[in-house]
Amino acid sequence: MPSQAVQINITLNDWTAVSPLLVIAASVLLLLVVDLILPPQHKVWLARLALLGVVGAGFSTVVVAVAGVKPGFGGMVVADAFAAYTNLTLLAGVALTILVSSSYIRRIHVLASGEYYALILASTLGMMLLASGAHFMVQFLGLGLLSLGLYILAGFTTDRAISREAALKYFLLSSFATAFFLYGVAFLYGASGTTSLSGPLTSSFGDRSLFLQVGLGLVAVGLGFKVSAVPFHMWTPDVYQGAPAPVTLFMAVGTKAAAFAAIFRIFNGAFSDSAASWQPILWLIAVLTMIAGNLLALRQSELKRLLAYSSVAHAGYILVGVVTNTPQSVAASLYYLAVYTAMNAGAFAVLAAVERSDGRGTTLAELRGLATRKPVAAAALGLFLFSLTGIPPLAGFFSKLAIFTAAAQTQLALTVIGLAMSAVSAYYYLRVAVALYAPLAPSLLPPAQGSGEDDAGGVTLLEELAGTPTFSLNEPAPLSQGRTAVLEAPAVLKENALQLRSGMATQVQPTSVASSPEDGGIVQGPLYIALGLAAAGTLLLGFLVGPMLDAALRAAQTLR
Amino acid sequence: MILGIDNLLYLAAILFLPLLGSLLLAVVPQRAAKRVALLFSGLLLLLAAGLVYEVGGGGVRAGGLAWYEPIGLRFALKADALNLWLVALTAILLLIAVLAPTPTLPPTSRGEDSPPAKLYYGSMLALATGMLGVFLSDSIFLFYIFWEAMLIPAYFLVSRFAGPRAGQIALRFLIYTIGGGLLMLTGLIGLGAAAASAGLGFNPDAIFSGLRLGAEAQGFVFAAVVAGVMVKIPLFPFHSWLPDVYGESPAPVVVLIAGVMSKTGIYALLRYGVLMLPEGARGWQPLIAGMAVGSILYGALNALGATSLQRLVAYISLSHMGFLALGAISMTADGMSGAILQSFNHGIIIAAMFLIAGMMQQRVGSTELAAFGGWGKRLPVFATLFLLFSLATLGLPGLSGFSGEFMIMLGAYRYQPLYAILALVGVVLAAWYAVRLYQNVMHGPDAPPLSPAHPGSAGLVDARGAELLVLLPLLLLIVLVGVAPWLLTNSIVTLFVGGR
Repeated sequence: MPSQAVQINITLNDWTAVSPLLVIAASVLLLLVVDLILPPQHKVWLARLALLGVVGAGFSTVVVAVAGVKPGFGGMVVADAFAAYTNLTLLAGVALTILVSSSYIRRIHVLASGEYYALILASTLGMMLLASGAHFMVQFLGLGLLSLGLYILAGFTTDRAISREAALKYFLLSSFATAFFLYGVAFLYGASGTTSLSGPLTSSFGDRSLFLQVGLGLVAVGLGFKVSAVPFHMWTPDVYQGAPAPVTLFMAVGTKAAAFAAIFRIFNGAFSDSAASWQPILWLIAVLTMIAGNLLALRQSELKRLLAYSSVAHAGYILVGVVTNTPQSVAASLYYLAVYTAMNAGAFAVLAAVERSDGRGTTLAELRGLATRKPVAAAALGLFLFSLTGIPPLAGFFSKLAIFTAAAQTQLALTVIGLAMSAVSAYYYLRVAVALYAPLAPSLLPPAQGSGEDDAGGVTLLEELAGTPTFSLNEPAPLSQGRTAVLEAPAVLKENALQLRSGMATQVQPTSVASSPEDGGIVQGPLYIALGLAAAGTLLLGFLVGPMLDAALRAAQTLR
Repeated sequence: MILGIDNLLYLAAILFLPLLGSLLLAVVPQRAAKRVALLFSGLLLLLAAGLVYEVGGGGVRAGGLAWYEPIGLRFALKADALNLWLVALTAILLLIAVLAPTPTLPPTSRGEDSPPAKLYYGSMLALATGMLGVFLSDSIFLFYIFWEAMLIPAYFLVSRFAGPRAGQIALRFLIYTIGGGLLMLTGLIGLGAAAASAGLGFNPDAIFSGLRLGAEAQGFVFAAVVAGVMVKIPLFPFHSWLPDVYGESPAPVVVLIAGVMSKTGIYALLRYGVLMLPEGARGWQPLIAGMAVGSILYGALNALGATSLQRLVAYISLSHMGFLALGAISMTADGMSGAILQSFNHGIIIAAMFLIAGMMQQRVGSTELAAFGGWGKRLPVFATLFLLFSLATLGLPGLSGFSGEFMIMLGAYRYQPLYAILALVGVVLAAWYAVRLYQNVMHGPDAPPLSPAHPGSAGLVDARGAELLVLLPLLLLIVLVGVAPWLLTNSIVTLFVGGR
């Protein structure tokens, strides 16, 4: 006789608890169908539809949290204040991603925009599962779902080799990290006898049992990879640089918020009482992350790489709140996450506006004097960089203040290291901010052709290369109208070769950059909205530190 | 919880009026920018005059409301004799800086259509709000917020207008001051943590109301506060941003930075250093006094050797700020009163010096001292003004520089005669560089035309009405406070009645 099938009663409450997730899932399916029947000239409606789904999910998150819905599916998915706070944070990041994407896609001529938005929302679904899942298996599901979408999205501009490389790197390393996570879960199951995260968990072998420590350590590796904590950060600069700018934005704010939500729920929630067994590990990771992230950022001249290392550094500050492990410190980290979403999304939105189809246009030399070419974009980027540095009255300062005031009493060393590293970070952020407003000094004006005696050989070699058709195929002329122009105009190619040579000498010709028709295009409507929203967040979230921290504190208290 | 709402509203009006003007500038056309800025700085001066009338005889006006208590954030403002004259100085110099001619930018390679007057005046007004916030704050974190926030407009002013190397200059200035500021924040957060440990909640302001700290803990916090202060003043080994920022920025910008922003450092040293943590200050006193004397001598010697007019005045300012810091760190009633009095006076005098130097440089199209000479007989009005300002810098009795410097020397002598004697060497050097400067520029043979653009001393015109409009009010203040220093000191001495 086969054993009797387990009866699962799915009640209305279960469906209500997951309703924000259902809205996103329905939007994914709807997008794929609508993409098929929508005539090409109306593809812009895909972005609007995706945005509608995100707004709907946000609305449903608020309703579910306010109504006080009980955990669904046997406590596997919760709709508590914590889930609401983290979901709203990452949905805000997704909304900004979609706004930035729509004009980027039009400019870069990505054809498969239906799949693009569907993948973004599918990843979002994974992130929300990670934030609302109160069970290791649900979190694992979320981790897999969010990564799967991102593998494809990172390589979405297939004509860039660097983009394909980013996708492969992310895929390989992320798979490893997810395996580590699963391995850790197995150990934790061994220690605590459950894979549920809904109650305070203790090890049946005592607080300092090896099983517990190994399990938590492995979970920290898996999630540390997702938040780019040192030493699991190696992929970050390459993938951030290679992926299309809106996807980088999505990774930087969405993935980070979701993975931190999981960290809070596991470490500060379920295993909060066994803090002694994980605090030393995370303390070390936090210190390494703050120091390495900031020091490595110092030498970057490519802004996407710079922001990648900066995102590593910020993960370190947020980890300070995790290590401190009080409701106040977790609340401060949650607040930091919201502020970080606004200012970082803003910075990447500006990069999406200036990035060209070959992925260039975001080095420090190319951004020099941006204020005279695109005053709005430059002013906005300046604002976000000042906020990332942590200069009041911008929100970045208040979030740092909240974290370090919460940590000062018990984690003085972390506080001092964090503030010292903030001082280091001022250099690399403000170097960019100063470059944006710098007048173009005579020394940076285009060098006379063939001026350098010693690199003259390089010029001729490249000029020869420019004459061959293979070169034109590998390197679509960034300064010409499009690929057709390449075939017609060898003169353009020669110029292109010169441009390359000067690019190698890190002396980019600002005039050619500016006159390029593709240079950043125009800052279009949705991008303006995204910049405006991010700027408003960067300005207002600071003054609203009271209500924000109160809400975050309510969320943090539900973890216990 | 709102205390003293009427006081708070008045002080908040003073504080945010310039910021309001700055925001308004964003929407007006470029050519109206200067008029709008004038309107707002004029209104600010009226409000500040009202405050002087209210608080000028001593007394306190304070008010505050809760912002977010759990991390010690309060929005509280206070006006007393310690900050009253600095608020007045800010209002006066803002109006002067706005009145002064708009600097012209060299055309960039991209051919900028017009000098960005909106950015220029908007940043000036926002900078004024930042500095007023530092002076008026009655809560430690609020003070810190304004202390750092004023860097943003200062960054725009320096990075756009300080000549061809503006980017580098602005970057170094920012890195220095932010580094110092974050060290200061570490100390202030430590103060809050100490209050939390004592069961007073996370509130650094508790140091003013009942928190007792041991001398060692006080010493740590004091050191952190001084780290921010000595970069902002700046004091001798941390001054390396100063010659470039003061030497390359247009004169009206320097008026605000050297005239007022450096005073935020002296003010913080007094209110959040010496007065807040007296026991902690004792241990650091010899070191800081040494740095102050170092500034006096280093600045004076560099002023003697300078070859550029604006840089010469920049080093004079460095030397004078040493005196102010020495008075503050002497921790005597005389020295600290003198530092407050001299903060006002130095602000006026150095503003006058930078402005007149700027006007002279504009006439000859060069900052090199070699480009001047023989102005005395051709430009008598200029020569007279320049003489009076130079004499004020060397502290001639009857002009405003004297009384404050005298009080500072008295305080320094009471603290440690050696420092007073060394500082006195600085006074002698001051006489030397001031006279040498006057001789170089006003006497001697006419400077020959250095270049086609440089007319030589022969073809120059004397001070114009618009220039006198800027310089004469400053001269009036210098003479007025010189003759009647009790106008300020009557209220200032009430601060130290107990005789610390």
